Amino acid sequence: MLFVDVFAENPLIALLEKQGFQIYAEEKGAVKDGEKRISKILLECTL
Amino acid sequence: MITTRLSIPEDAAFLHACYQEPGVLRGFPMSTEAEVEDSIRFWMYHAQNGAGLSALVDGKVAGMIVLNIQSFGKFSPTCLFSLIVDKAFRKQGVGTLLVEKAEILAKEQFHIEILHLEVYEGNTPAIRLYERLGYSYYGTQKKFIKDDGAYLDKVLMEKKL
Repeated sequence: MLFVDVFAENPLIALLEKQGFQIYAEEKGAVKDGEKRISKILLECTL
Repeated sequence: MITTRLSIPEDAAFLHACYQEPGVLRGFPMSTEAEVEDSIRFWMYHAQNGAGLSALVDGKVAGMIVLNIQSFGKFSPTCLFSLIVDKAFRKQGVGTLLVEKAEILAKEQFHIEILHLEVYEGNTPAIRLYERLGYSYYGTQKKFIKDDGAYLDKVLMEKKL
């Protein structure tokens, strides 16, 4: 298995999904960007 | 009576003793002595930064918990914690007290907003404890551990403080 974490709204998520990665969890509010909180998206791919 | 205090370097001996108990490593990723040493070093690094608590019963360490405070500012809203309770002191409220005190430490000292934890599938007593304390499931990392040829999933849980 390959695991990767990507910040929400990053276009890389769509690219990874095209390559066969699947979202298995979302860490809501895990990332602080100034006053804003964004989620971390956890993806996995079976090799 | 169970009391807690910040962990001190001497408490590393408790971790060494716990990890040597038969079956305990089933709940942790380490499998060799070198990996155990690494893990204890990592645990005590955070503990020495004020992020570890030890529970005492009659003056003897009965359990420990540590917050893995992240070094990147952007990740500061969350942190993962690790908990271990001596087999002889389980089901006596040690784990509950440590988690409750760690939540206060996380919120007040480190301004953590969400606590995360990871537990391997099949560790039902731990999952039940965390659910009782208000942690909720948010994902599973499949086949995260390979132990003696068998795969185990890692269950992810979180609690907003």
